Amino acid sequence: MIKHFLNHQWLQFRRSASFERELGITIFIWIMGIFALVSIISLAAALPRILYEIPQINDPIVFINEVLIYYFLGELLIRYFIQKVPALDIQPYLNLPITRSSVSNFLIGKSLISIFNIVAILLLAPFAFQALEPRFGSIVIAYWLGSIFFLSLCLHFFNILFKKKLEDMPWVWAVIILLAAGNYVLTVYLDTNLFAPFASVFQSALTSPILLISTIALFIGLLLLTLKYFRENLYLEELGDAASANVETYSEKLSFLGKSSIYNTLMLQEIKMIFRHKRTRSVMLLSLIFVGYGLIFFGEDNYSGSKGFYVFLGIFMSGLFTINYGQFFWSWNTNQLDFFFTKPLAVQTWLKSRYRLLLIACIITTLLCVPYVYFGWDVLFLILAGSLYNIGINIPLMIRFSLWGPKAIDLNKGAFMNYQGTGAAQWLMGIPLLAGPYVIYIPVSSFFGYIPAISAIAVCGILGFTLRDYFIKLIAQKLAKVKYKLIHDLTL
Amino acid sequence: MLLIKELKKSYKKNEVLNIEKLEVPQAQSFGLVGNNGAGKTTLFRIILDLIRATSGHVEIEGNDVSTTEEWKRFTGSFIDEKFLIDYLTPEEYFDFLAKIYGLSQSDLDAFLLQFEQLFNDEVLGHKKYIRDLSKGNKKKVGVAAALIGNPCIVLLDEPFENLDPTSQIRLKKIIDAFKKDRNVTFLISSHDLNHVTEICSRIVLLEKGLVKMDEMVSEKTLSQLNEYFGGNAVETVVEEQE
Repeated sequence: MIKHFLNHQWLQFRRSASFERELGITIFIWIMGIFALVSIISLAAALPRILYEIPQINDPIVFINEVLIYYFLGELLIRYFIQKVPALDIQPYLNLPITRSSVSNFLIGKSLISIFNIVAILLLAPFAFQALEPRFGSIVIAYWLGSIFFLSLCLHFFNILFKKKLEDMPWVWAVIILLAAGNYVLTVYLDTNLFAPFASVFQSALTSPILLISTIALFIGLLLLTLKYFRENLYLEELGDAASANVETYSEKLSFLGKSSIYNTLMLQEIKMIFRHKRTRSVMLLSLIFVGYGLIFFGEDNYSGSKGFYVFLGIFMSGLFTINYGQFFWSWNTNQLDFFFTKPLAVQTWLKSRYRLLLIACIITTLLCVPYVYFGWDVLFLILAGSLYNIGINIPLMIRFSLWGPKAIDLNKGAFMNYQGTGAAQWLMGIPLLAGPYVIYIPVSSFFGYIPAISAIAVCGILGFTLRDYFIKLIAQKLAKVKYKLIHDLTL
Repeated sequence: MLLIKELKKSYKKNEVLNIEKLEVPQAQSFGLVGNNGAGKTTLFRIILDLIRATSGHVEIEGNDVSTTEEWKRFTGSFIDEKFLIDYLTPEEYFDFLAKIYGLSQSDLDAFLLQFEQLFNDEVLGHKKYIRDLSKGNKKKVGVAAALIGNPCIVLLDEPFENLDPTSQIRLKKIIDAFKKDRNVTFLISSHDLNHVTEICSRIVLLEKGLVKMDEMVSEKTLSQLNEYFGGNAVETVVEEQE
């Protein structure tokens, strides 16, 4: 039976509609994965030497045991974000004479084949052999590495159970936040750390097998619990990504938009699209996080010499949503083009309303950037100039460029590490957006200096903004030409 | 009303549609039947200018669909779930459409009242996204959406599919009312020969992209169609046995 399951999984991967369409990006992700693995292995090989050469570390073994708990907390965090709860499309198997336990055994067994489960061991095995063996003997390696390995597996199951049973309960998050905040306060003001005792727990593995035995027991316990959970909950609606039963209500506060002009109605509709899909929400969130990007650079003397770099910052911070959202401008409308092209709605109207949405997003990010005035008025001026340039030049450029070989996006899929819709075009189109302002900046600044150059960028933005209707007309003309292909390409 | 002239669609060398001439006058209800792959949906999508015809053209009220947009104002359509915006609730979707067609809130409320029975309290007022509705309820939302904004011509692909018997009868009544009261021209494709002969005054049978039959509905039509499709089935069975 397991052979069949494995075979079906392979066929599902190989024959998926997106396999060939997204072959390039799949290969790219694999290369990144292999790169990460090679990095881990070389770090592991170098770790013993590094630790013995840092003078501040008295005893590397004690040091490692002290930081292990933080490693595991980090691993848990990464697992939470990246690792998916094992699921195969179980529907076709449920009505066949296959026992529930063999389906759940397969799901759990397959989930164990994961790179996360061996990262800890990979990373620490060379250290164990080079540092532990000479001092404590080889049996201790088994105690210590074994405990780490099984602890990692415990995290694996804990993560699955957490996502299935606890994640949706607000109090769980309240407790986690309270613990983290409490520990921070304790560490900073009282000089005690809740995690400090774990150092001696790991240290104990060097002398006795108790830790190993207890982690194995914990592992078996969690394994049985997970198996039981899967056997009892092998129902589609419970294992699958639960369809959110609640309708989001934030956009209701914006419902006044629907009562005014058609432009605002269309905008409201698009805002709902952004709010109601994971993928678009993460674009929004990322743009908000990157508003803080400037903190790394402004006020640092190291960078103040290279004023040219500031131009990039000005464009990037105020235009992040434009760039991030705009590169998939048409792909977001996957499966919606049938609707829009059969309704009495002029393409220009639709384009104008979406232009307005990007414009407002740009203004909001710019307002969020205003506190950077703390680093000087010239910083604020820079951000304003970047924002004007984004509004006038980059938004229409983005709308036009995203007609360049757009790829369908399934909005209902998760967001993290999801590269669906990304092709070479999406990487390339960032270049003119970020390099464009330098075409103005470099010549003007070499003749007149920094401030006039920044002003020139702002003026270009204003010029572009006054020409927006013309740009939209050009885009609408192009759209009329590529309409059928667009409908075909953006239908899943 | 609708005029199709020398329409051809082919993918590479494979011709999927070839219609010399087809004219549908105002207020005629026109039924399209044919087996899977006969070209019904392709024809509908070309009429709506969602795919490009290889040659020939389609006119609605004298407007060539591929070069003008005026026809969209009086053409309603529902082909499949992609015509819905599935992350909106049905209410939001209807509000959005009302805005596009320039209907006031009271116009919309009056319009939706006609569908009260069809919706059967399962569509409106449940705070559910369209994507979470059942197939039948999605179909009801789509059909209602196609009729919004006083269209003169309405294209429906398989409107009875996935509907329970009661809803099928209610939908037929609604279509009849729109025909009688507002002179709406309907183009309906269906596999359900009973329904299609009941609501349509003219039937066109497509097979492999060609018009095989084009007649006004009479008492004999249903048995003719049954004979045609049944005859095909018998033929295949005999062939397989040999």
